[in-house]
Amino acid sequence: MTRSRRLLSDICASLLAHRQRTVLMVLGLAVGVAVLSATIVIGEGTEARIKGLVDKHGLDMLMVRAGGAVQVFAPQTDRGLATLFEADVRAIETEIPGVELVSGVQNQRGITVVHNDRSVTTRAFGVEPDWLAIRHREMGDGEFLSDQDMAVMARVVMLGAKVAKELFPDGDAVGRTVRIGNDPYTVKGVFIEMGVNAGGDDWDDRIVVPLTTSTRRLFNRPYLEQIVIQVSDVRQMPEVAERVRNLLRVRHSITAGKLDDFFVREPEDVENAELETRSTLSAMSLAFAIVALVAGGLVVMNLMLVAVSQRSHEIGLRRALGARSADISRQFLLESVAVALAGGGIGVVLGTAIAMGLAAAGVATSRVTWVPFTVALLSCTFVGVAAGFHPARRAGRIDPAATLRQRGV
Amino acid sequence: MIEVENLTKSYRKGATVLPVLNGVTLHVTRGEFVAVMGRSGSGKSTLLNILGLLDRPDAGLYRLDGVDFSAADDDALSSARNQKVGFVFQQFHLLERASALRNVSLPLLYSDDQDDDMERARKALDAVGLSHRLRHLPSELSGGEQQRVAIARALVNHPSLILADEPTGNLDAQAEREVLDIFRRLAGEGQTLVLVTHSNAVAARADRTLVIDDGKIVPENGHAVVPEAVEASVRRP
Repeated sequence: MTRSRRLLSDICASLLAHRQRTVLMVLGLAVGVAVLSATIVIGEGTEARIKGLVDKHGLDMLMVRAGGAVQVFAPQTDRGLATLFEADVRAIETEIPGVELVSGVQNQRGITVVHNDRSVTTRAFGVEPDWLAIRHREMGDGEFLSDQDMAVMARVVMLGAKVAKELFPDGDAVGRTVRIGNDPYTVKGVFIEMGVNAGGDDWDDRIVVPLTTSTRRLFNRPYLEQIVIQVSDVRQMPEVAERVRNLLRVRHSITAGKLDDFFVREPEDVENAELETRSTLSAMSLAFAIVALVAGGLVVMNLMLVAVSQRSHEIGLRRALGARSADISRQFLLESVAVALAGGGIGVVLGTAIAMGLAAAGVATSRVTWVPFTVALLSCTFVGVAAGFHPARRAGRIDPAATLRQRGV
Repeated sequence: MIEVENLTKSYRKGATVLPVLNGVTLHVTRGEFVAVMGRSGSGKSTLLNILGLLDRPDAGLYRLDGVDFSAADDDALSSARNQKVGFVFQQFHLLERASALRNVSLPLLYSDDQDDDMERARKALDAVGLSHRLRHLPSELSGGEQQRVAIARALVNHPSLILADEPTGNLDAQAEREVLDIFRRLAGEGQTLVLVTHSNAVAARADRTLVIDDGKIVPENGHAVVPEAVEASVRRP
């Protein structure tokens, strides 16, 4: 056997010889790691669920509509209120913290798109490049509009899946030319099929052009129907909405008591409240896990110190038999790390099981990834070294002659 | 083998300095079996610790196997203890929860030899007549057997020197005889042994007896005899 393997087997034998102490130390850390991994597994599950909800319902999006409180009822027709302009978009983008992405939006019904002998009358949108991410839309084919398209007011168009299917029954829409009004537009991309949403909007029955193209060419008007905003943190939605309201009131010179000429629509709050509770819960259990880990580390350190003083004769003996001071320190440090890793192993399995149990009971959402295992490994190695350092140093400093003399003649 | 010239050592206890060794000079040749006698506090154990490289002298010369360790660092001293010295203690100092075999193989943990530990430990136990007790824990062995395990542990690295501190102090007459027989046999095989004892009977089994008193070796004249009164007062059960 090599020296290190011999040392390792000696450490295992030492730990087994002091079973009670070893079990106590392992349990001390297992509790902390179990809470930590359960928190992570549930946290990851919740995170995944939030992301799913956000993607599905656009929970991270604020929408500003032109017109006042009447807009609560979704407009049946485009009413052409000239209250929102591109300058408002840029002001929101630069002046409001917590805003991730912004896009101005124009739209108009009854736009006819022609390809050869086929034509579709649909609703056209003029938007900016960030709109795709804000609305969580995806391209099925081709690309979305670019900054370059905006800059040159390019005559490019992105088609909804249904529009593409009607104009190009054989597929291959991208790169072809369609006619909108009197102008030719190149099909740059086709959206993936979305289906009809809960509000009855058929998102496959839409076309999208660059906002500059719609303001200057297609609609030839400067005012916007909407401004869509993605917030950086879903939980700050109400604050960001309030800031947008205040900014627009100032910009539109609306004094106190007067009605707004715009309407800020927030996503449903119900889900938000739930998410917030969960994140508070997970912050609390994370704090508890850290406290438990620190406590576990202190338990390990104290028991190691007890071990060092109880085993001082053994240490003296080992020194007499040829152990270097460093060998003794290393032995105790490795014992501490081994105990910590054992605690971590048990804790991570226990924690994952608890999280999965809670998920099965419908109390929480869980998602098992490699994260808790890595976190457990790292935190336990850290705790093991931190807790073992002081006892190990003390063990290495024990004077063999003195300890052997204590019981000697 | 052992050359000691004018060794001094004192311990500091608070403000007072307690001189323990005041110029000890002694020589032990290879294969010699030497007993060291003296009253409690005469400096026997301190001398043994210095001879065993567990402690350093304040002044004077000590050469083991021709090597002067006065300037050696902890690593070098540890390695020399491991390779050149075997200790036998009055209290045996065995790991209580480890088998005889693992106890004997303990010094090999700290040596760089790649030989099969267990085989060497088995051979050492065989040499002290305990090949039938390999897996026993110390608590399952008699006092004499425990001390023989400790001797096997001292032998396992083939040291140049075996140091025994009252090795029979905790043993009955029968076990004492067995242990001394082993020491005698080892000396016959060329093993150098230095043994500290209070007992004239034990010292009588050595080739030579040195008496240490007041931190000095009393001039030799064959087998020194410590007055029985002294022995009786310090002999422990």
